[in-house]
Amino acid sequence: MLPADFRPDGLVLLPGETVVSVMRKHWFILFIKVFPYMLAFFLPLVIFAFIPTTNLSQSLIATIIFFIATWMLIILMVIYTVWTLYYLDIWIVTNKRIMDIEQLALFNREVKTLQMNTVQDVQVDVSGIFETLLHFGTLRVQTAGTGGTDAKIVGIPDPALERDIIMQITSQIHNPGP
Amino acid sequence: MSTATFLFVLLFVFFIAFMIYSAILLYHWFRFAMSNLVATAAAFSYMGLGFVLLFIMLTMATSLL
Repeated sequence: MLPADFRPDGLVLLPGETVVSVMRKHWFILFIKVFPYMLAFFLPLVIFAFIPTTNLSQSLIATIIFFIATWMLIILMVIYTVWTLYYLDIWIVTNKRIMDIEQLALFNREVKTLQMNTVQDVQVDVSGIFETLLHFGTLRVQTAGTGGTDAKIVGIPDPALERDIIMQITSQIHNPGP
Repeated sequence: MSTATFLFVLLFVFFIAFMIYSAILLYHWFRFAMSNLVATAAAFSYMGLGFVLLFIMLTMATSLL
């Protein structure tokens, strides 16, 4: 069930449409992107802690602290931008379609919609030690017809479960019960 | 231009840049695909940390006067 104030861009549910799953990329994907910036955030503090300041004048120390704070402010803005791009990347599966909302940059947003009745093949790739141990991977959905409307989401948690959900819905669409 | 004046000019530039960038991020957090709780938490932590750093910059620049 979606929260009442959840309002992804482009999601207007069709009559009879229900949201089956809403997924973001695995937290490890965010960690890999943010970790270098976290190091860069604290690096000047670590360096400053090891610099002998006894010979430095008060004005020079104040200037150094000023520039450390400036550096940390810049890195702070970068970290929150990276997190924003991660958080706005959403994969929504409903009983009628798949929506791949990709936030490429702050002002570059791509919303891809695949109709469930056109889904032909769902492929799961789990490669590498981290993907295997932390249970995330790449999910590719191929559709019938031309036009390059296939979707791919990298770093989705539990991709096999998501594949099963999609295959179950497509199977119900193609073979409706009595 | 003295060091203090230079730092105050720099502080002013970064304050304006931070406020403009904050407006852009807040727009994204409250406009797209977020619950209000997450957006509010992100806004408070980001703005809080940012203002603390700006305050440190102000204090250091002032100490040079």
